[in-house]
Amino acid sequence: MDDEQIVALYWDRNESAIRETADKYGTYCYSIAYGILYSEEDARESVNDTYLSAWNSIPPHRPQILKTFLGKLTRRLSIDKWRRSHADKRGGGEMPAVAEELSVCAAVEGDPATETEKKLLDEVVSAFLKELGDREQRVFLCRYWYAEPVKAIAGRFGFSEGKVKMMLLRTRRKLHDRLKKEGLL
Amino acid sequence: MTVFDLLDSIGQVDDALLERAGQRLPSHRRIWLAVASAAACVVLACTGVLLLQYFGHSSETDFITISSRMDDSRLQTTGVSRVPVMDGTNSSASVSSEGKGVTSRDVSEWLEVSEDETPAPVPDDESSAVLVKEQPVAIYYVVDGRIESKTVPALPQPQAVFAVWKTENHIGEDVQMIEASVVYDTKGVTSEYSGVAVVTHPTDGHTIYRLTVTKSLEGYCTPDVRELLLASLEKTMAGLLPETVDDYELTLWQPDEERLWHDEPLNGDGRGEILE
Repeated sequence: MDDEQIVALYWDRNESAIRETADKYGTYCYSIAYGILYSEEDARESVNDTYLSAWNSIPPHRPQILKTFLGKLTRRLSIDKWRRSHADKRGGGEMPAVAEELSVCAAVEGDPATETEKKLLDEVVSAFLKELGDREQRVFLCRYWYAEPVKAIAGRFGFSEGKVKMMLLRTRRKLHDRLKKEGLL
Repeated sequence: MTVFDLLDSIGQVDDALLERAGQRLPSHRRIWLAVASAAACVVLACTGVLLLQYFGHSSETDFITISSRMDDSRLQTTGVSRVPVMDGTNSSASVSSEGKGVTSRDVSEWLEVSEDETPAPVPDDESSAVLVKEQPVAIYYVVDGRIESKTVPALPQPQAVFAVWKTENHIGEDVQMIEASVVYDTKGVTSEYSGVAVVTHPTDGHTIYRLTVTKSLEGYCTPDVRELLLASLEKTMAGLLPETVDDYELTLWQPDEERLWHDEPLNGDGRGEILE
């Protein structure tokens, strides 16, 4: 079943939309959740929360790309779950390392961004990613969107781990400078 | 602003970027491996071509093969003043002389003899009816300490002319002609080889008539007739050419006891047979 038909099921409030979504994108959502949560149980729970969230947001939302729509839901829900259950920043998985790496660009502890700051931050980050080179952009998203281990990224792109780490370090420094320039730091 | 605000903003990236991020891209390493594989294939192909040429039937390549395997005992100067010294001390002698811009043709090509024509039998005397071309051929021979000549009807192959020359000079069948070729050097040749002797050739349009015969010819070169005999050979073979050449080169070749390059003897193409 194609994405448009699945979305139509959501709009028709047909519960088979959940089953079709799980059949087509269940593995994809699970891999994102597991990468962040590093727990099968938590990942399954996060994926189920994703289905529920999709059910609640479609309609009125009509996603252009169902896959990335579900992925973003899963990621956000998984990070929220990880943040609640791993407030001490301990535990397995890549998220502690990811948070640590990004701490050069933002404080780990501190006041959350205001709505205005959040909106500006979204714009700056989006523009920054679009300005990156193709390889830097992909490596950056694999690490900080999918929370993939460096080793997996190196294998995916055929780079050495050292090269991936160096690319990430340089990109983080660029992001830091950009955020500072925009007054977000 | 916290790390989680930043993570959330990263999470809002465009769908197109997100889709592309997860796709594999050709890495430098994979590209390098592909290039290396292609290069290896090219090297193998070139090696194959070179080996084919090395063991093939091209007169130019055969000459290189022969010369490169000669040693001191098997290649000697003929003693004729115009004949370049070729003692074969340097295995790359012929290779160095046949560099870029040098081409070689078999003499039979100059004689415009069709390959389809059956090579004429070696005539026993001048009454032999090996008449293919109207152009007569002058055969030079040594008699009473001087060089005489006689004209015979046109012969189809240098091999046949060589056979007549042998008959007139009382040379036995143990002497064989290996190759008769004309080498064109359009780029100029600085040296024939880098061994004991160096033969310097002029540049542009230089032609060399190369003749290779078995070393057994030495057995007939008694001191009193040696120079005359080799000169008669040169005059006879050079007379086959429709044009004059700039240089003449005679190589006496002694085949190894084991076969050197061809499993099958060469014959009928102006290069003679390989002796065992």
